[in-house]
Amino acid sequence: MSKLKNLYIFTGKGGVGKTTLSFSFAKYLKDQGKKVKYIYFKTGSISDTDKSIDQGQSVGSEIGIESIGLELKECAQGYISKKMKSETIGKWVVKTPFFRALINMIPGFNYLIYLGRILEFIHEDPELIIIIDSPSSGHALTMLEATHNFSEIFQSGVVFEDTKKMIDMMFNKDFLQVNIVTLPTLMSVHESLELNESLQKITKIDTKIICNNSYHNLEGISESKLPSFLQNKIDNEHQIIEQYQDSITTFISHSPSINAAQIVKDLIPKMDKTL
Amino acid sequence: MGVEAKQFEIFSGTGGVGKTTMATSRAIQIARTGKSVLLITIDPAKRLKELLGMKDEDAGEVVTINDPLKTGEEVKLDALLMNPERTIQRIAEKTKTQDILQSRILKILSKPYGGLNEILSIVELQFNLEKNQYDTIVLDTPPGAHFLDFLESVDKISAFFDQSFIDIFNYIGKKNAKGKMGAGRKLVTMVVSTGVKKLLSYLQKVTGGKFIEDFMEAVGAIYSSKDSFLSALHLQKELKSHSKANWYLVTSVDQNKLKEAIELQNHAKGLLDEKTFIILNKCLQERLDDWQPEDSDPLAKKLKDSFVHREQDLKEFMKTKFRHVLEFSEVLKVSPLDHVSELSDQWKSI
Repeated sequence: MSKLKNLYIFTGKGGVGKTTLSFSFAKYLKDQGKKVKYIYFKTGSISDTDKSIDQGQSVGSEIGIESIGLELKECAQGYISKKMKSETIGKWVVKTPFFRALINMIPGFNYLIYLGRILEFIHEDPELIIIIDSPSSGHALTMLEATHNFSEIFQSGVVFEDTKKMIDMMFNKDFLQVNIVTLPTLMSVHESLELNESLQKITKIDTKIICNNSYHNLEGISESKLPSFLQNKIDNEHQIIEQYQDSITTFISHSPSINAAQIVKDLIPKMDKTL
Repeated sequence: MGVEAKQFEIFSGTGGVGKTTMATSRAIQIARTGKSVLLITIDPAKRLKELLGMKDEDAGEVVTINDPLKTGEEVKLDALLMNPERTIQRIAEKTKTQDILQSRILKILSKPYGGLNEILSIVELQFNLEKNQYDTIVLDTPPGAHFLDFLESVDKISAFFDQSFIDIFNYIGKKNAKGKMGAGRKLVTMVVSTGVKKLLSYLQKVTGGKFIEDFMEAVGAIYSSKDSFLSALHLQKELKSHSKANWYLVTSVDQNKLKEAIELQNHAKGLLDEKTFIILNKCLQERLDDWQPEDSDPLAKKLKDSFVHREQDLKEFMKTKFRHVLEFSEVLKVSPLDHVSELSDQWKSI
């Protein structure tokens, strides 16, 4: 096994299986005795009502992986409390309309706060491996760009210093790997290549392109026994593979299970290919 | 047959379900009836560009696409890829003030992935509406939870311009009628004297004083263009009205996204109600009916069962919740344009 990173971000367009693969990967590492945390972001703005959407995170408890949903209000409050050395002040600041307007009008801000919290986890326990089930492609870019954008925005002060620290830590080759999940369709592959290109523009990032839910490598079923629509799907996949085999790191085959937790388990043996 | 087109046709969904392809096929089908159609995508992933063969430099401009399916038919539609930077420029042109273009913070935040996408797209939609040029505007919204950001962006605008801010800006406005740069510092002085002093002193410690000043300047710049932002507020009402808008929630049977779709609907209460059209994309039912795996092949049976199960569960559930469930069968083609073409035909017979 190659040296493990501290942080793995699973990204890609919606519905490609980021959550499933994130859990499979977390479980794969845990089974090898590693300390892992699965993290997702609950909300994009500060509000008093819970607007988070369960995107399959409940599977975590079924497979024995703790899933931590970060909440913007809590993270912002924690950060300010720490910097001001007072919880009362932290609590009060996030309640003020001005602060809410500030955070909610500048959406990239939320990622900065989230990433700060995540790096804190790793700081507290350097052995920890964190897996982020990140928002779909465009927004993952917003997230990774946030550190650069905001160091430009702040220029001085505590947040500036922290953002600089964040950049030094995050964009270190041994620290971060971004797994771009895609499906074996032309549009999806194009999107993942585009995202990869944009990520490389920010800074040299270690990325892998993982093609999920493919049918050409189904185990234990001979292709000739499949109905014509599936053979048709497989033919289409071969066309795509031919064109993009150099870019796609690995193919994960379709799991024929129905239960979400079972699908996560089915994919665990394939996870070494994503490292 | 078919669904009658309204002034707004809004496509939302969990992402990866074929939302952009679906919205495009709908736009083409409506354009075929002779209506003038504008197709807008707010999805930062920009798949529309690929589908319609648009160029990067087209982003932010309305482009007329003749014969989008390249089959030689006489159909055209207008298409727009959201570009926040371009929308900011348009706001500046409209309000004849350069402030909004000069703010350092706004420049960064209006980069294509800077984060102001959702709010500016509402403003852009309003601009296009004011042209009075289109029978139908088809809207491809951001995927999943970001669709909620899109809906909420209108509330964010109103929260931003709430009375306390407006008082402050009115005051600044009088002192500094032209809204020259440097309003930021005055704004800080003003805000400090109105009792937010404590908050700012805290924030300054964390963010640095320069940021607070820059942020105030950005706020000042946005405020000087407030009419553009506030006019977007009217839009929310229009979008909510069933006589003016059809809402589509796109889901796909190849995904275990049932729960997510439901939560999305719950959160978007009042907008996605039982009158929402549910689109079930990539249905396989007819093909599955024709497939009889042999008993000697348990894996093939398991595979078929999982397909059948998934599709039936989703259909049954949707039919208990929504009045209109539209089924589209999966297109087994490689080319994205072939997908649009087949789906636009399916729209006719739905």
